[in-house]
Amino acid sequence: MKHAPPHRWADLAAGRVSEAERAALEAHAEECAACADLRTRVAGVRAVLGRLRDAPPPALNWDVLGTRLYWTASSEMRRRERERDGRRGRVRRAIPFALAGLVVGSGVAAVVIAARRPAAPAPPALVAPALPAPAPEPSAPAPRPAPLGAVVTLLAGDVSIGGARATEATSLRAGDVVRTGRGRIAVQFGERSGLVVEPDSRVDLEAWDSANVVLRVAGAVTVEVDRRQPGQRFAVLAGARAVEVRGTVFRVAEHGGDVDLAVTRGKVAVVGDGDSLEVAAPARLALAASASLGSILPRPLLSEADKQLADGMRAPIVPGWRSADELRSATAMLSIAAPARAAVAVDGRPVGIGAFRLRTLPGRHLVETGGLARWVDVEAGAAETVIFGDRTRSERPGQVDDQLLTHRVAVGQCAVGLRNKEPGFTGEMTVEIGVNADGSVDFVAPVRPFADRAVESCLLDVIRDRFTFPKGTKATVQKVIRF
Amino acid sequence: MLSAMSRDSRPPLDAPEGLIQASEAELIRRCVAGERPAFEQFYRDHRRSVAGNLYRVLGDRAELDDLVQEVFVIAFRGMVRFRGDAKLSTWLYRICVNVALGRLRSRSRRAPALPYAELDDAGDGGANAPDKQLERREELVQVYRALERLAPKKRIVFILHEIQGLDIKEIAEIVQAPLVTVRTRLHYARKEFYRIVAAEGR
Repeated sequence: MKHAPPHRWADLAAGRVSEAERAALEAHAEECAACADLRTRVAGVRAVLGRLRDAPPPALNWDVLGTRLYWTASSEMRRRERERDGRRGRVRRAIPFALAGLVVGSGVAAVVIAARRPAAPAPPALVAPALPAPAPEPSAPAPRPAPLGAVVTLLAGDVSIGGARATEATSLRAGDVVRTGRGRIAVQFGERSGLVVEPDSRVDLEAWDSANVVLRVAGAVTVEVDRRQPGQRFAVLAGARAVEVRGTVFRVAEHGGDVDLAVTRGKVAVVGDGDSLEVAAPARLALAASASLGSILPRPLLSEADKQLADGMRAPIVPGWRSADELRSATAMLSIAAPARAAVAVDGRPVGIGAFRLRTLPGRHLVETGGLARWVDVEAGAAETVIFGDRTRSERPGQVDDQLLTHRVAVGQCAVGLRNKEPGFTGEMTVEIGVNADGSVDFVAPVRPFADRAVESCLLDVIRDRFTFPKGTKATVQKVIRF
Repeated sequence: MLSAMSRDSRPPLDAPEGLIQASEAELIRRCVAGERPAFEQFYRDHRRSVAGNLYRVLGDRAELDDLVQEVFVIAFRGMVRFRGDAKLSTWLYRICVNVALGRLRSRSRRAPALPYAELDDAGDGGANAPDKQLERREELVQVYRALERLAPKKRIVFILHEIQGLDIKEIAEIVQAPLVTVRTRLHYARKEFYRIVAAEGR
């Protein structure tokens, strides 16, 4: 007999060959050492494949994943609802998307620079030639642009807007001045548009409406802008330069006339002094006040510091925007108190440092800092506080142990049938038990299924129907039940 | 539902079909209506089977949570159109396969890194000794190294048949291909896989 192809040894191991062929293969393996070796190896591989079938799935962070998923799914759902709304939905969407130019100037320093350089004031470069805004119809009267709705999505420390202390209910109007001092504020102004004013910054809202947004910034601001609609202007001024943007994420920092521009998504065109330069993400451009655009090239965001900067360039944006008022009423505020300089993540995403208030969708959220984590449930229009520092552990795991002890007979009864068939039978099953704050059992789910479906079902019923808990914290407990 | 994808215990096949379908239909209706408890129930019921399927096909846990999320997002998007023509588990399985295929294709476009370094010891069967564990890990690596060299479509049918234990008809339903195509694909996949295994041992 010739050497058999390797897969025939697998067929032999699986019993997929005729009796005659089996005898021939085995006889050949007796004579051919190489084939005998291959036969052993193939059998080993088949055993590995069998073990893979029974392997439990890897443990993921299910709760975090579920929360993220819910955010995504609920956002999708709202989008579908809006699509069903038809014309009304389109009008509604037009308002938040109605984003205008963003002008980043240089505060007092810019005024000084502009005064020194009368030949190169910012306004002529407001609109970059590469991306002109569509011209209005000559015969139609120009509609008055609607004010741009804005919702505070993150507030840390003292921030003033228009001379008053900012709160989560504060809105923005043209003419307002935002001063952050040591604080930080994030504002959402569309479904996917938002900005973050960083500490020690001042932002003058020279224009803030659906057709035009002009920000004059001293300090640093990160902006996330959705796609431009026809007739809208997206422009950023930095000192004597103009930056024209489409849908993009970028950060502009201005200090003493020097501008540091970082772009993590999309493309911007920097225009000034009769020259222009395109900066495509991911790139960074450092412009000294005296530098000419023609002599500088953007560099890619490669260094560790660049990556950290890019990671931090996220404006907290809540899905489901229809209007500022609707978003305010449909969302909730989380007041988070973490130790100073401690990074805080909500639902797995880094959102802030230390103590701050964050706007979020109603529902269950995981707040983490350092090695600590808290679950918090919030309802629309409500506010919840999460304080870190007390290392209290949930009481629920201990209570589950108590309940298992109390109902050990009922648990043991579940395996009686199996024991009758197989004396001395023992087994174990891992379950997840969700306990609500009011003590009711939220859910019981097997982590690893038990081979006998009747036993599994019986155990789950015992837990669901007999286990009782006092009021306390909402928690999910994973437990191995042996019987 | 964890075992929905394995041969020995698949609720849609073992349990009274009408009951399962009725409860599934109700769950889907509530999910489409945007009820969060229903959403959570669906996620809880299927998350482990989805993760397990993706894990077995891909052989590593890199980006596994993102891929699980992708499967569920696609599922939630598609629920509106889910008419119950296929079993829910088959439908979800199909999404897993498509997501895994996408991942395999993007992986094959990149440098041939070996992404299965984080393989868990699957079903140790009491073999807890470090040397035994090492040996088993090496065997797993060998298997996934061979799988890595199969074309994505062949790899999928091979895994569905040889690891998940599905028959040709079930595979055809999942990959939405004719029976003959699946049979041919599986034949060549097995031939190629064991040829690679044989060559590696020389």
